[in-house]
Amino acid sequence: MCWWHNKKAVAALVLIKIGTLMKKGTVVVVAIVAVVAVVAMWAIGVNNRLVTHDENVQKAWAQVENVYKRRMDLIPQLVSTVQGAADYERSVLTEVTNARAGVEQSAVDASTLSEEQVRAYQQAQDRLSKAVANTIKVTVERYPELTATQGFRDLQTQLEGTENRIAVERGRFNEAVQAYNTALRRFPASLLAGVFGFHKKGYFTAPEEAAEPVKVEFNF
Amino acid sequence: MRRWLALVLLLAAAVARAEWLPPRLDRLVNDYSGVLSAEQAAGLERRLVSFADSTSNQVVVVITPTLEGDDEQSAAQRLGERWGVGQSRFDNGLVILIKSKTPDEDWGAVALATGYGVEGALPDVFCKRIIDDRMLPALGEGDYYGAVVAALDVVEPAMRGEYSFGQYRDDERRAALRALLPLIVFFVAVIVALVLYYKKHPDQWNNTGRGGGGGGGIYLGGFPGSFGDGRGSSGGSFGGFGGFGGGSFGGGGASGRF
Repeated sequence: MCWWHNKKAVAALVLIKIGTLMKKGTVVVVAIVAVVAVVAMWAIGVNNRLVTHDENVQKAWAQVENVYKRRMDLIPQLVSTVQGAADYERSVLTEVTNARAGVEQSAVDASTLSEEQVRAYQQAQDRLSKAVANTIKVTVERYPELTATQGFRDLQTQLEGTENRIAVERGRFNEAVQAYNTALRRFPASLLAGVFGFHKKGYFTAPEEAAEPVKVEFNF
Repeated sequence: MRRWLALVLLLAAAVARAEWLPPRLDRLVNDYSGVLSAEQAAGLERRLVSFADSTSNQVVVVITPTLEGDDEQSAAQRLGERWGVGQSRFDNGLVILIKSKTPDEDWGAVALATGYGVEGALPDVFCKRIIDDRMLPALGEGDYYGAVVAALDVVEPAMRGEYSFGQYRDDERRAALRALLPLIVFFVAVIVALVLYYKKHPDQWNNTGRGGGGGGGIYLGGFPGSFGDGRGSSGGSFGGFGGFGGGSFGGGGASGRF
């Protein structure tokens, strides 16, 4: 067995060799380089972790957009179905059409997803939710013959299913954002996050009807 | 301060919206209401286990006396997600959740929740039809077992990929036609018989006043009976259920009340 197979011995020999070779200044330089290397490794780790979380958020966002898109696609069908009824209230349909147009304008940059962007997106989508719900409510209340058709009932089922999916995907998105924001704001990592261009992302807030029972004025 | 308050509010909202979730056991038929007999439950379990073994699709049946204030559709979705019904690679799980009627809560509900992977085989509209056409009539009479079997008879071939929603609709149409068939045959037979009768006795065509004339025997063929579809369950292997596969649920499905 050769001497270089004993790793500890080799390391000790190398250190002694370095010690005898180096001057004091060199030792300082080596120490700094070592510290920088350690910090760099840590920074790379932080960056990669944040990238992973960011990817998860974007994946979840894509799903959110998917299910909202699904609803967008159903709305022309809803409009044309109820439009067929004579004297159908124009104002109800106008509200749906306007809300749909509003959603089309509220495009969001998936790479940022800032709190303002998510809030604006949610506002536009929630307005559409309300308009769709209102359309169905009005139809059920005043146009029973329309409600009885299989076409309308199928459409209603599809819209309900879409709302369920929206709720699920919004929940998943919030979970992903929570993991991201936590990783972002935890102490040592928080020092670097801003430098690497990671910023806090926005959540979806609970739908209004769920928040209704708890009414508190924010006056500080 | 504001942040804390928001957190408290969020928690309050979470508490206010009850989240019903029974503990996960390694079995596919979970009757917490005790509305299935032991043989029925065992038979369903065998059927579902053999279906899971042969297709990797997992169907879970949960019957509960209460949802603790939860909404049946989201309860079914959450149960599927947390239990991991279906294979994680295919997300091919289905949850059949029935809230039974009890003296305390005199309303029943049923929800189907589809995993991401079976949303194509079982679109929401299809689920709604299964509930409305096949489950609610049985459930209305308190026949929980019949409702589950009626759903499985359609759901299993659909999940296996043998049966699509379009075919189901055509079948319904054909069934409606079959129901009308005896009537149609009856009228055709009457007309044919009358035509034959007057061809043989043309003199009687216009005799409204004079009586007489032997009564012609009019034969009406026997009606083709309509048969109920006799698709039975196929009891297969006796091996136990191997465990849930971690499938994921995106909120697909439908629900109904009885």
